Amino acid sequence: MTPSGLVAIHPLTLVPNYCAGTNIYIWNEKADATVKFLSSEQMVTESAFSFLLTNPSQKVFVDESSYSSYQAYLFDNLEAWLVEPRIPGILKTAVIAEYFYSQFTVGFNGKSIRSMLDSSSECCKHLEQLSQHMQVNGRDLQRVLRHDASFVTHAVNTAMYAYLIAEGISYSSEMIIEVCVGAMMHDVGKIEPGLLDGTFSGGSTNSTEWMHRVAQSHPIEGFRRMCREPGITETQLLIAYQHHEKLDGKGFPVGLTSTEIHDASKICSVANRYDGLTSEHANRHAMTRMAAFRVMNSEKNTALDSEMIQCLEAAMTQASTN
Amino acid sequence: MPRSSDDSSFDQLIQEHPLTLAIPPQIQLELRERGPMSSRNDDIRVTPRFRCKGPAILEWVESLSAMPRPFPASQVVVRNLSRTGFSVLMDRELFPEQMVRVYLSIATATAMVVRARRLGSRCYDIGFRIKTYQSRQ
Repeated sequence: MTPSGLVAIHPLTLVPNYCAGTNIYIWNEKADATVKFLSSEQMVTESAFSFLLTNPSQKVFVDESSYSSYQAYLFDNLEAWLVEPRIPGILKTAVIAEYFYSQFTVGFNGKSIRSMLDSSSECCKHLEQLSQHMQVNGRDLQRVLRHDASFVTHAVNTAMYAYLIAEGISYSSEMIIEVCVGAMMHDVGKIEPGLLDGTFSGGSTNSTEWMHRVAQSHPIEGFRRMCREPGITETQLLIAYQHHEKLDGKGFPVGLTSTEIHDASKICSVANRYDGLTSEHANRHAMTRMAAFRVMNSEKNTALDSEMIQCLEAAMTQASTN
Repeated sequence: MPRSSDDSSFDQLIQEHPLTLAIPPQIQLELRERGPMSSRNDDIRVTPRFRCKGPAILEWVESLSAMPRPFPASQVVVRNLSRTGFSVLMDRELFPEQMVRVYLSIATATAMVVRARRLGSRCYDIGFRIKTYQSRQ
């Protein structure tokens, strides 16, 4: 649980010899409290970094009030870090994941489909840039991604897993970006409409009836919300529209069968399912990678495409080479 | 493209556009039924629907820039209708927000796709919201 007034960040985003521009706190088990680890003026030392690297479960936080400084630290340094050969691959992956969460949160807070589309395009261009310098590794990714099943986390994780699949089946760079943006936007139909038009009063929308209706209608609603946005592509619209279709025709909203479903939608279905299974939910614990693939392999050729599952499984089990 | 209702009879339009649908047997049985449809608990429609089987011609009017997918005018089978919308059986999938013109035996309407459901390999149930409606003289 995150202490009040603090925001959890990934420890591996604290890059040696850089200053995060905000106080950094760590959780001290013995004291059962957070303690200051670095002040806002201090650079991350090699020893501080080694401590974080050797304690991967160490919880790290920044002040909620200065979270924007941490975001600026990520945004300003990202491009330099991605091309810096001395920075280990897992750090680059952690930084890009955190950058995605931050950037997509900015887009989400913009309260419009346009702002979310812009921020997801920005993210995916950086992901493609990263892939020119290193191979994004599934195991590293699993280690650095959040698994809290929130809207932003799920959007980013689905895009990351979709990236691994699209790369595995040798899509072109342009197509990979297109698929990743579509995957990041795949659930925009779930957003409470008042959040987009400024009329949301903050009332509870968690009734079972409302949630059931949203679950059933969000592919259509997502398509409808995005279809007139300048620059949106057919592939991205179909990802939002078809990501709950199943190969055996028992999916929704249309009930399409195998050959009628767009390949990019099949990629998103697999990515979406994997993140759903490996995330913590209110009523179900996160599954391990192996357990998740057991479930998904039992659904291949009825719900999910076997080639896409194989691609993701190969990427997620491959040892880091960076 | 079909001629307008003013210069061509509806029967002629139907003859010019043969039906290419493959209606599944269970849907053919359902099409024989008449009268008001019972609404489900989760149905959010505000006006009742009536079963009403009949031929119509559907013509593409406007699509979305990302998904142009124009199609030739096609004969479809009207499945049910209400004051605000209708559904048809068609041989292809349409997408939400696409606009069509539909020539019915009694009227011409422009309508927007709100949903599509696959019933068979050449049979989709497409739901429309009516935008404009003009009775045939």
